Amino acid sequence: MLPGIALLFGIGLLGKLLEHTFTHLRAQYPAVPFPHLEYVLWAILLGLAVGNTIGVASVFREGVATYELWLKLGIVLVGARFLLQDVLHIGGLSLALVAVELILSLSVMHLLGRIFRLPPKLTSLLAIGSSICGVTAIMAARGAIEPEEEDTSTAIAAILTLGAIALFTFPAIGHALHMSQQGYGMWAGLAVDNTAESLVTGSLYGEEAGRWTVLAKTARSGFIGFVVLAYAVYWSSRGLAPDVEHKGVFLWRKFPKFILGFIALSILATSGFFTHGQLTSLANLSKWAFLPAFAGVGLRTNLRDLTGQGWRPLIVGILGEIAIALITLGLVYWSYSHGVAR
Amino acid sequence: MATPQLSNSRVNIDLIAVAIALTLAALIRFNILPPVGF
Repeated sequence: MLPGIALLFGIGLLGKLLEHTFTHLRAQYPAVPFPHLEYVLWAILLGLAVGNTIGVASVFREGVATYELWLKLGIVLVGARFLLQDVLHIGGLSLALVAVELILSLSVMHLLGRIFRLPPKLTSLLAIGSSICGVTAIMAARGAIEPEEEDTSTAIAAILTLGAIALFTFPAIGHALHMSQQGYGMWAGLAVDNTAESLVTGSLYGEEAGRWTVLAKTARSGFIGFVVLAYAVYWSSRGLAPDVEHKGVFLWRKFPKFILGFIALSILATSGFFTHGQLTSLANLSKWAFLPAFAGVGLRTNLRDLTGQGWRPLIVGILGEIAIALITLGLVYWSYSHGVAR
Repeated sequence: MATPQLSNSRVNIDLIAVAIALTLAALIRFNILPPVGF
């Protein structure tokens, strides 16, 4: 496991080094157009480049798979940056917006899947991945609806690649629309599917936007169990997946329990358990945890799987994601113009 | 890519992440860990 973990941190640190180097070079040679990218983006891009050129050797794979652990550790630690009242207010608002987003995006994906005649289980996976939370939701659904291995890889590749595109398009749209940090953060958390890519998309707009993205994305993740359960019941009713016997147990098993840690740290921070300096240390620790996570999501994005089943799943993914981005943008604008958010 | 998924294994990575985070928070709270920069 250690070589893979070292690779994750190595790529992440290289991203940090590149950001510092180019910042320094830009100051020294203002006439030269050096790339102006933040370390989070470098980490993902370097991961993407390594994963899709030389590939990830088997000795690294087990360690690279720990990226999900680093991601969740980072999110739990970010909980200390939130007052409980913000978690309840914005988290509650996110839950309401996610409920609407869910219904609309699942409908859009199924409609597109039908129009483009995708295999039904691939449509289900794309719908689950794009409405809830990317790879984690697809993996959670895999055991429940038993899709073809090929469907899973295609759905994961589509979600991750489209998330990588959002890294560049969302901040530009946010700036063009003069969105507030909180509004943009909510939008990135509601619209970008993969958690790591969503957090980077949010933080590229500003540190405050990044914090709100974490909250919105975490609220969205809370829905995984319900959506996967609904699909499991649907496919088992058609005799194409195992029965779900104990629905309460199923929901608890699929519930992302790291959310409880996020809330626990928020409660501790709100009660004054930490000093200001200690809260800064916790925030910095979360950045250290995110560094390998972002490298890992780049390494995990396999562009070759994208077209493994032809171009139609990718077209469905692109059209669906554009629709979801617009729906969530509309929802965020509505909630801010009606004074629901503050 | 056949990258293994930790979530498929018997360990619950959510609970591990929570345990590590709370341990780090306690170490920082009681000044066992020095201030962390980034």
